[in-house]
Amino acid sequence: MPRDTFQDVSDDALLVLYANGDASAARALTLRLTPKVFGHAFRVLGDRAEAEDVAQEALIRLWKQATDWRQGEAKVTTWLYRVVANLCTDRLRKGRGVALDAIPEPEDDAESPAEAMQQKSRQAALQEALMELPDRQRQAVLLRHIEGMSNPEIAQIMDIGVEAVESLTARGKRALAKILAGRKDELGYSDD
Amino acid sequence: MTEKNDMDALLNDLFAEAKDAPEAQVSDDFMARMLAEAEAHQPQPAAMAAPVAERGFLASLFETLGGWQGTGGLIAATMASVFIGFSGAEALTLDGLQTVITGDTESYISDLSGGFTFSTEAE
Repeated sequence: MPRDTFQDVSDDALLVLYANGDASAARALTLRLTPKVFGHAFRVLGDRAEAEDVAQEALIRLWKQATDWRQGEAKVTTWLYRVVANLCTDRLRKGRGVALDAIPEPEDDAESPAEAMQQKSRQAALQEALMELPDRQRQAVLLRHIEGMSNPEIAQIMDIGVEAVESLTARGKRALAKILAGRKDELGYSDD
Repeated sequence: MTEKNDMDALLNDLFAEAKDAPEAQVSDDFMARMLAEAEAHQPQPAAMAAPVAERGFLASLFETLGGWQGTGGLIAATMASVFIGFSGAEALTLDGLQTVITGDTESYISDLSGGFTFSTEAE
């Protein structure tokens, strides 16, 4: 995959270059932002095809916004994650639910033999556990713990207060711990 | 407490691994599509240049005269001319102008008679 040749250039500055017709800026910005947007959408939605649709739509909105972009006013990633969050919420509200239904219940140990679990990667287990969280909790946990964003930034993205973010991430993490507690051995963690 | 610490450690490890998890990586095919999209939506420099507005007669005249400086000078000169026209008209009549050019109407005190009238007879 091609590399980002503008490593020291901010997203903001690249977007201005993009708006000025700089083809290399278009390439650099796409290579930089697509993995972030897609990765987040995938973890929120639990479905690659849906995540691709969301990522594509979010980036097209950014390209259309480029000529009107006011440098220094907002972070490109914050703006973009906000669009992704809204698009994901819309899709989740429309009762997509396919990926959720497809994911087996992790606590249903009676019908979920250990050997089946062993075939799953730790990441698949995490994704399954994430999909059990309420949508807003899942988004907050992902933004905080996987995207590594600050609480004020998450508050902007999710259009809520910082305290609400703290509450969502704390509850989300507790819920994840509870879901995964019974699967520690499968995940390679034992009490010994 | 130990159980909680264990779970915190487990979750932190899983979160760290998730950042590079292959499941959440973009496929080459999708990236190629996104690169094409970015190019397709990119504003073209020619399209972005401000359209040259058609200039009217006055605007063209203004520019031909040299912009603000030229037009300002022209207006000042015009106003000065109008002022001179009102205040010093006699000095600028044709006769007056003639005296300036030819200098043949000089008058001297000796030309005056005793009564301080101009003498017109030869002595």
